[in-house]
Amino acid sequence: MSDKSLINKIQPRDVADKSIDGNLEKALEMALDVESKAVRENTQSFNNNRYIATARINDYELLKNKVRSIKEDSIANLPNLLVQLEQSIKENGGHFFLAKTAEEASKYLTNICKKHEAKLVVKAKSITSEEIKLNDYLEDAGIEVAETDLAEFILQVSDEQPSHIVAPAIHRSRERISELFKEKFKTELPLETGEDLTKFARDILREKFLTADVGISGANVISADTGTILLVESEGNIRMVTQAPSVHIAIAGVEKIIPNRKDLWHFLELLAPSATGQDLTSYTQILKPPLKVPPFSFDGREIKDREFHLVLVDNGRMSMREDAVLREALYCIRCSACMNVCANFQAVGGHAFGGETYPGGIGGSWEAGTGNLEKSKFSDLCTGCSRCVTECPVQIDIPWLNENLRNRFNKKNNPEALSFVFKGLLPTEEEDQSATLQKQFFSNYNFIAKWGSRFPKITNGISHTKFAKQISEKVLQVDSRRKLPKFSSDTLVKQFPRFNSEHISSNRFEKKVLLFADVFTNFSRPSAGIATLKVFNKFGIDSQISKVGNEGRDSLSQGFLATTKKRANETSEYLLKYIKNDYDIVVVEPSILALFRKDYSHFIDEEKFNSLKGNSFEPLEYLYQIVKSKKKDFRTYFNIEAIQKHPKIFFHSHCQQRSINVAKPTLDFLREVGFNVDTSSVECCGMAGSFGYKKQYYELSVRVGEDLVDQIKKSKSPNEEMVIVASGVSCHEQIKDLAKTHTIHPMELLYQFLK
Amino acid sequence: MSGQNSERLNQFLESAKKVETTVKIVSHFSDDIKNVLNSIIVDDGSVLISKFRFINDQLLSEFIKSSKYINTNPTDKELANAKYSITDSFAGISETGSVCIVNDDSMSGSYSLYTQIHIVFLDSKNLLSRPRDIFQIDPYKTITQNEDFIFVSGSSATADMGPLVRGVHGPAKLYTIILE
Repeated sequence: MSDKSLINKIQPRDVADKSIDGNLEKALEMALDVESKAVRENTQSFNNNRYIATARINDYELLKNKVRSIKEDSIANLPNLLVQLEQSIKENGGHFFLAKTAEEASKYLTNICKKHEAKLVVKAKSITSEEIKLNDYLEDAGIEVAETDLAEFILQVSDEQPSHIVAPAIHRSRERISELFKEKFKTELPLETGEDLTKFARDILREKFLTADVGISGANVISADTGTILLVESEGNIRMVTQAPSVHIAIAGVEKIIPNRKDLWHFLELLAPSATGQDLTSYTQILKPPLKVPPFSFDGREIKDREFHLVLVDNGRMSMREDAVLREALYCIRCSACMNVCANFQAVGGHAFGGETYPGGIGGSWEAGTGNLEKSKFSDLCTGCSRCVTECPVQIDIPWLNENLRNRFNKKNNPEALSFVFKGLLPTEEEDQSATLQKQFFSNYNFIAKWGSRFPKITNGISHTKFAKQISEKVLQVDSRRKLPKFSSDTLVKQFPRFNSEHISSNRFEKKVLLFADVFTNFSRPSAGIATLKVFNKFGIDSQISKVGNEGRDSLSQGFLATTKKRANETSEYLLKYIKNDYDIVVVEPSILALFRKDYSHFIDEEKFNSLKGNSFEPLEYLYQIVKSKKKDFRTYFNIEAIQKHPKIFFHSHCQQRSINVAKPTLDFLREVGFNVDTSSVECCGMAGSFGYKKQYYELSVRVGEDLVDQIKKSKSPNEEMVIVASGVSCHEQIKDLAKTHTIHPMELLYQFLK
Repeated sequence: MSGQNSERLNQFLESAKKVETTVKIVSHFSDDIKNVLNSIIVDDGSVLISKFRFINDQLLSEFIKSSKYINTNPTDKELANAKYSITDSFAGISETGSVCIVNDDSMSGSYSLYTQIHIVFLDSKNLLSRPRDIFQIDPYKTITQNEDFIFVSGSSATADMGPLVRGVHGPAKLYTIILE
């Protein structure tokens, strides 16, 4: 669909259910066209604020670990906590209901409202109520529902689903809210400023608060020992909902329970900084309902005693608890850090990167757990960049959840499965052979590169012709606007003997390194590997080269878990032999190092993983450690004067390089050796391995990349030269495609200044 | 004031500024209290005052009795329409600029919600460093383990309509008066 008027007619709700064929593509097109600008501005603002706020917390990591451990223990002990909580709520004089299904929960809530002859219900933000479609039930029963959180109010007026877990209307700019209100409320008021719009909504809602019969809120955390709920907000609507009407119903998923009230502080200290970057939100309430404050009767009706109901919803959560993968999602504290840090989410928001209820990378597991696997199809937008893993306050490995969802998709109902063709042809494990042709292609990069490098003139030439691009777009769904990376016949492994014969090796060398010939460096960027070897040699490091890697990054990104497991085991066994012989492993391509440091934890023994993780390094991380520990002087190795005269460097760090904390040593090294370095602040370049090559995601990949291109442009003064340095192969390709400029690897840069 | 308290007070002032709370520091039992309140309550909008549990100040009590606009026992209609509220707080948090108020029949929790301007008194000796402190230190933890309470960290706010706007469903302005 390319007609703009048609795109504008796509309503978010119409494309919310991603299990329907074509909805994901339509939602992407709509979001890129209509919602991208507002989502991007708002999520990036939250993201920056979170970095600042969490950096101020001196024991942030301890706090994260503690909350993670409380959540793990709580989910493990959930059946007992449910029993204890029921007792606590009843002792407090409240009512407790555990709903097995969404329908059961909605019916119970509706019946309470009916019992009180409620005409109007005021609701605070509750994603669980969205999940169980509570408003539909209440409205069918003739009860008016007023959403009182301003974002939810906007969504109620526009009939849209939330696009973000903390700021549900994040996709609407002030201008689009103004248009909406003018159209729906037929008002002549100017409604131009945020103040105008807020006052307009506030006046409507104040009347609702004062006349409502029932208030429905969610709960951020619930403690089983006392039946206490924690509620976090800024507007004051939750305070209104919980105290203005005499009947208060709190609804929450069962996963919100923790054992003890005394532990609530961990959550409140962690939530606001991780969510919006505030130290605390305006109002953080801790309540043990029913409230002791006397009820009011603003409209002269009879004053009733306060009544409280806690409705807990299972709706698939107890099954998620039994699922080793989806169980992780139950630890989520719904802060939205994973969404705000995600480059793809920043570009499209939760109407595309989200389902009927749950948005973002974590949303896939929730849609699958509370709905079905097909509804989580949008989880394919998770590129596995892992920026969310370090930012998640409860350390959920969200890419791993999405790789598992992908794996389950690959095995299920795949009409394109061509296993009979692939059997024996591609090195894919049998259980991964039912995936699509596109996934088969991208999960076997090593195989393709190996063959491509044997006949580079043919493969590089043909693959870049218009005809070949059309074929690959048709058959493999590789976007024809992309050029696949070129393969070199003179691979890193082939060049190594030449390097070895030209450079000294000595038993006096202090360090032994195995340079891992990862599939990307070996076939597509051997010059970065050779530069590494030469710089290392100057530093007195005795380097050997590994066999060509087939590490499993490609297969993991497509959800080929059996294949990845095989590749991880073979690779780690091979590398551990070197580690046992006192070799350190150095890896040029950050996404491969991230496998060894992070992803292999899912595939190999813990002891082996820890050994590999502890002995694998990025080139400049490795050198920086040597320089610092041995107090080496850069002047011994580099021509500092020439470096100082060198044009400015623009360094773009790879997403996974930052996620495993090895971007900083590279940056520090370049700066300390004397380069004038500017850096990008984007979370990801948007290429993300194979993601940006896929036809269905090309536009999104380009949109994400625009931020990086803008930063490059802004960094460069008109009359000065600037050299762009990037560690990742896919970043290199994205910058080449979008900024039409060349990049070099940090080691290639440094090599030029060796003495 | 001890060195530690003075440090906390400075940090509180800095944190409160970030959340656009105006902080006034006055001495206990001084006419300053009256002057400060008079500078905030500038029109004849009605003033609701909750029962103070954590501040005991004779001059404040006298001011309350003498002011014709002050209402300590409002009807529900008056509650819904009052402009100012005055409450006390049992603790202040220097790292976040928050004041902690109970939500009980003293009506602090209700009065501080419905009005446009909330004025809250805090005894400087109840200034603590981090939110966790009120859960761990006596006598605050007796309250936080048993009662309903609220961390108030600035006035009611939203960014849902574009820029940050203060004054949504709760007060648009928060004044914290610290008694030394």
